[in-house]
Parts: sequence; C-alpha cells; structure tokens
Amino acid sequence: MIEALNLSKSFNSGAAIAADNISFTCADGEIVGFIGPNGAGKTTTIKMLTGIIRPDSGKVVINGFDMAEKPLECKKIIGYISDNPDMFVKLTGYEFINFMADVYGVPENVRAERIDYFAEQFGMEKSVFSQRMTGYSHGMRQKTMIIATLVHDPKVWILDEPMVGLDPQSAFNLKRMMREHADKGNTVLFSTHVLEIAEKVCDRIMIIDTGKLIYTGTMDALKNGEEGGDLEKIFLKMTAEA
Amino acid sequence: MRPLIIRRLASVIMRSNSMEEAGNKKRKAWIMGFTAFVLLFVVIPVTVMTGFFTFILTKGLMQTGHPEFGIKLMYGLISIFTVVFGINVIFNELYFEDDISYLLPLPLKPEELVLSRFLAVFVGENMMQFAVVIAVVTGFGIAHPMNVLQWIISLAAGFLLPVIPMAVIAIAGMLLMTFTRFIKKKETVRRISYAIIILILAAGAMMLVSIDISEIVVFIIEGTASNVLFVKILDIIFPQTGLIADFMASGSVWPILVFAAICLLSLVLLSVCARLFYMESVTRLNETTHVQKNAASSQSVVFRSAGMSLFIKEMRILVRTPAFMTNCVAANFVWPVFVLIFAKIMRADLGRAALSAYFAEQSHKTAALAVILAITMVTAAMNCLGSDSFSREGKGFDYIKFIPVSYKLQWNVKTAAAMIWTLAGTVPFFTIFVIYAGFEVITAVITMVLVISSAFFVTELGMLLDSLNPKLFWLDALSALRENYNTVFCMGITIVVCGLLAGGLFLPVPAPVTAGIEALLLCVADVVLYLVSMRAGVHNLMQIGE
Ligand SMILES: Nc1ncnc2c1ncn2[C@@H]1O[C@H](COP(=O)(O)OP(=O)(O)OP(=O)(O)O)[C@@H](O)[C@H]1O
Ligand SMILES: [Mg+2]
Repeated sequence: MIEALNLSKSFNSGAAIAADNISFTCADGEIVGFIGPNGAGKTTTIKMLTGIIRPDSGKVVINGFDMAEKPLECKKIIGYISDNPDMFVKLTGYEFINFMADVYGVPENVRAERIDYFAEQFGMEKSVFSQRMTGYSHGMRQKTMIIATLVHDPKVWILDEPMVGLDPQSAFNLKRMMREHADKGNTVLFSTHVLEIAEKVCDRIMIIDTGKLIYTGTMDALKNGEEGGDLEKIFLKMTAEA
Repeated sequence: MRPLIIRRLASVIMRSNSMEEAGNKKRKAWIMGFTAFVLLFVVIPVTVMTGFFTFILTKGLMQTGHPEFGIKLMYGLISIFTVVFGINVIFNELYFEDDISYLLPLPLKPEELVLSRFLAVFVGENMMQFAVVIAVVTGFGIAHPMNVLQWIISLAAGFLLPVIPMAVIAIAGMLLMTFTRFIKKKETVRRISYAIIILILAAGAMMLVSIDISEIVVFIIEGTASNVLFVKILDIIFPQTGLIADFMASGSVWPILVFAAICLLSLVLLSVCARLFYMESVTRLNETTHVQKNAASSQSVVFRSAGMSLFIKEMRILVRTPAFMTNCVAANFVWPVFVLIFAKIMRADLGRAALSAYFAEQSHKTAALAVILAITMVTAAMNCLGSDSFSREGKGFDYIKFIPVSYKLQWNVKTAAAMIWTLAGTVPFFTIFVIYAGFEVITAVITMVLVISSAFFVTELGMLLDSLNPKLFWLDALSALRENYNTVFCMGITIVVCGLLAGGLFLPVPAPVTAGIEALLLCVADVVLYLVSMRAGVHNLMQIGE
C-alpha cells in the first residue's frame, strides 16, 4: 500500500513547482495508472515515493513504514523502474541482475528461478545476459531493467513508463504480470502516456497536471456520463481546463 | 560553404560538449569559484613564469645574435603540446562524439561539418595556450623591442600557431579512417595518443640523459643551437615556428606572409579532404559499431552480500570504462617510471648498498619522506578516485537513493574502492624502498602510516567535495573527469596541505619526530574527516538531485 500525504516539491529554490500538495492512496490489490502531460510532475512524484528525492513537505508511507523515518524498510518493499534504462551499461545483464539481487538479499536458487521465468516472459535468450548491456537495444535494456527490479519479488511496484520500448508480446505479458501481482494483494503504480493501457489494466487512474492532482478515481466513475466514456476526450478536456 | 553556419554550429557543438546544467545557483557559484581558483593558481603563475623565462632567454640570446631562437624553442614546445593533446580531441570530435549521429542527417556539407567541429576544438582547447602565447610574445617584446604593427601581427600569428598542426592531424585522421579499418573505437585512438605521449616523454628523457647540459649552454653561447638534434627535429616538424620567430626578430614581412599562406592552404586542404573523405568514413564507422563480445561469466547466479556486490560493481565500472581505467586506475602506477627516469638522469646508483649509504644521512632521509608524502598525496588527488566518486555515476546516480542500502555503507564501499587502487600504486613500492634504503623499523612504520593516512585524507576530502556538488550530466566518461571541478579543488587543497606537511618535515627537529607528529596529525584529521563524512557527507548525498 502506498500512501502519499500532501506531497509538495519545488526546484530551484521555489522557482519551479513540480508537485503541489499531492495526496492519494494506492490500496493493496490495486493497479493505479498515473497519467498527465509532459512535465506535469509524474516522475517527480514517483521519485518522492521511492525515496530518490525528499518532499519539501508531506510524507510517504509504504506498507505502514514512513519513508522519512524508516527509509531502508520502505525501499526493501519497493521495486522501482526509472524512466531511463541506460544504467550500468558497462555491466553484463547477469552482473546487473545479480547486483540488484545481492542488494535486496535474494537467495541464489530463487533468483535463478525468477530470471528463468522473466526471460521466458520477455522472450529473451539467456545467453544475451552474458554480454555487456552497451550492446543491447533500447527494449532489451528496458527488459533487463524490469527483470533486475522484479527479481527480489517486491510487494509494491512503482514503474515510470515501463512499457516504452517493449514489443507487443512483452508489453502484453507485463500487463498480465501486473494484474497477477495485484490480484495476490500487492500494489502496482505506474505512469504512462498511452491512454489505452491505462484504460485496460488500471483499477483506478490519477491525472496530474502542472503539479496538481486533478482527478483520482475509478475508470467507471470517470467515464460515467462524460463525453460518451472516451478517456482520450476526457483527458484532453481536463488537462486543457486545469 | 556558409561561414555563418560553421560559426553557429561550432558554438552549438562547444556548448553541448560542456553540458552545463542550467539555472542551478549552487553550481554557478561553484563554477565562479573554480574559475577564480584556476586563474589565480594556474593561469597567472604559468603565464608569468613563461613570459619571464622567454624574456631571460631572449636577453641572453641577443648577445649571440640569435634572438629568434627563444621564440622558436617556446613555440616548438607549445606545438608539441598541441599535437599530443590534439590527436585525442580531434579524433573524438570528428568521429566519436555522441552528437555526430544527430548532425549527420542534417542538410550540411561535409566541409561545413568538419570546419565547424575543427573551430570548436580550436577555440575550446587552446584558451590556456593563448594565454601562454601572449606571455611568450610579451616576454620577447620586452627583451627585443618591436613596433606596434609587429606586436599585433606577432600576437595574431601566435593565436594561429595551432592551426597547422591541428589541420595536419585532422587530415591525417580522415585519411587513416578512410583507407584503413584499424581504428573502430575511441579506445584505440586514446591508446595511440597515450603511446605517442610515452614515446615523446621517452625520447625527451633519453635526450636529457645523453646530452650534457653544459654542452647546450655552449651551443647557445656560440649561437649554434640549431645543431642540437632536438632543435633540428623541431625545425623540421614545425617549420612555422621558425617563420614566426624570424618575423618577430627581423620584422621582415616575407616569413609571415609564407606562414599565413601555409595556414590558409592547410584549411583549404582540410575542406577538400572533408569533401572527399569525411562522409564516407564517418558513416562507415557508425555502421560497424559492433556489439561488444566478452568472456561469458560461466556462472550466471552468484550470491554476495550487498556491500561486496556494490564493491565489485564499483571495480567493474572503473576497470571497464576506458577513461576511468587510464585516469583513475592505471595512473596510480605511472610515477615509478618517472622516478626511475629521474634517477637515470641524475646517474644515481640504485644498488642496495649505495641506497642505504645515501639514506643513512638524516637530511636525505627527511627528503625521502617528503617526496614519499608528496607522491602519495598527489597520486591520490590525481587519480580522482575520491573526488569523482559520485560524479562517476552520472545519470544513473538515482540508484544510490532507491536501493535499500544505507548511505553510510555505500560511502564506505566507495572509499574502499578508491583506497585500494591508491594504496596498490604506493604501498608496495614504498615498502620495497624503505627496505632497500635501510630505514630503521620505527621510521619505516611511520613512513607507512604517513602513506596510508595521507591517502585516506585526500580520498575522503575528495569524496566530501564531490558529494557537495557532483557533476552528474555528462555524455562520455572522460568529461566526468575533465569537467568535474571537484577534482581540481581537491588537487588544489591537497597541494597546499602537502606543501605544509612536506615543509614541516624540514623543521630543525629530528625527522622521525616531525614525521611521527605529522602521521599522528594526519590520523586525527582522518578521524575527523570520517566523522564529518558519516554525518554531513551522507546528508549531502540525500540532497543531490533535489
Ligand atoms: N532536478 C530538477 N531540477 C529542476 N527542475 C526539475 C527537476 N526535475 C524535474 N523538474 C521540473 O519539474 C517538472 C515536472 O517534471 P517531471 O519529470 O516530474 O514530469 P513528468 O510528468 O514525468 O513528465 P514526462 O511525461 O515528460 O516524463 C518539470 O517542469 C521539470 O522541469
Ligand atoms: Mg517522466
């Protein structure tokens, strides 16, 4: 469960407000989609949730742990995929995955199993993992990143544009994995620019614009009566008004 | 060809090369401080010294009737620097910079691309050199009066000094890339340029060993300096230096006209070569970018503790990134070569008996301690392992914050990774030395404590500086080092501290006593620095990127 309470964040000593008093809860068993125009504050909010940046005010609570007070407990629960997969490219896939598994203390046999499972899901030859990631395509890096992030079987998934660069089959499998994970009573929060994805997999969506949360609620409630239930039209209208 | 486009493009290239983060006040203050620091402690002393040296040299040479020789020598040396540093930079600029792939699809002529990149390198790389040129011309002009026109033309010619060697490198580079296939990677170029630096150093050292200094003085006094092999070689490779020198000494216009003609010709040749060869070679290079193969780790899953895994990751990145491998790792092992060359030049006897006899004397021992301290501290600052430890992470820095590992442990892992290489480059050599030189046990122990504690001091200082304001936005790893001002600050502070400590050794108290006190002081400073790191340093980490 992710609880965000009155999160605010500004950059350059207050010159740019990236998040303005944002509060929401992502319950267990729920997939929440995070949408909004470029520069709206999605990545900034996600970075506050994962402990990468500290909010100017407000607090983050993950499964009952306060990020400011018990950062390590929080971070152990979270699996985070950043919007930039070009990390540690000098390492091989295996070295990177093992690194992340070590950091989260995943036992050897468990990680071998999980690597097998994900490689299968993403249609990756395991021999690729013996090569350095400098030679990977964008999508291969993204997949390796996802595997490295999920190898410790985190309860809370926080994914910043996870579908970018994935082929249709892998994207489909990732969506299915998100559903399965949530159905086991876990929490998934992800940002995306593809409204169809948000529409299909999310139990709830949050719309953010210029740092403010302008809508949170279920898909059905949002569509109820408005614009013939077309998410695209609703989204465009809401972000234009705000 | 459109000159305006070339200028615009050059300025865009220069700005993107330096990749400064915009609008960050702290960073701006940092840069201001850095500029002042460099001006005060590097540019001004170097230029004043060069100017003064040229003045003395020219004054002396005027009595032999060869006033131009001083200029020729200085310009020859400057040109050597141009070539040594130019090879790497020009190759990168023409073939390996990341922005090339964005420029290639634009409707630009090849000569426009090449000339704009050439201009960017020319301005970007030669600022410091221009300062030296001004100093040289001024030193000469004071010793050997010139009229106003001569001053102006001399300065202009000095500015243009690097044009010819750089154009030659660029042309040679394009020919090489077009007609051979052996350079496919940045690293190859870097290796070649390092090989050339080593060759030049070796040649210089050999000359120094073989020539008697008094012989050169005689040559100069008799006005026959051009008989010296080194000078002859310079004359042949860099004829333009002779032309400028002749003009400055005699005021005759012909040499300078010839110089201008050669400059122009080299640029024309560069454009022609660009039109003929550049596109083909650069596109082929982009096609052949290969997937790096490497020894497959046979075991796919291995369990390690988080700290150990972080440490191994740190080592892998250091060793696998060529810029880090050469500047941070290999650099620790270079100084013994210089010490050996120096010993050879001084014709020192390096046998055990001779060494222990020499270092039996107290003052020699003190000097040895001072040198050991200086080598350790300068090595630790120069390898940038501390002062680049967070900047090294670049855009991937975020992981430090989201992995469930305490900042303290991560800090300690980075300290360990830095200390290992610094100590590997110093401790073994100095251990051998203290045994060979026959130091008493107490002195030997104090020496080793000095080495370890001073290395730790510099590393931790560097890390603290880097945690305050790391350079995280860089495209290629070399600029993580070159454009990270923390490394320079760290070096500056290290030199001051090192000067104080080394000077302190010569106080009129027995050396083991002063050395012991200094070792103790360093240990106390280390403890303090470490405590500061564990509080303020770790706190700095949390603030990065906010
Ligand atoms: N480190 C930073 N320094 C200064 N400003 C920042 C920083 N990080 C983000 N911002 C600003 O905060 C605002 C929100 O950025 P953020 O990256 O959260 O947007 P986003 O919703 O993720 O956009 P996108 O859809 O393009 O990924 C932007 O105006 C951005 O310029
Ligand atoms: Mg974003």
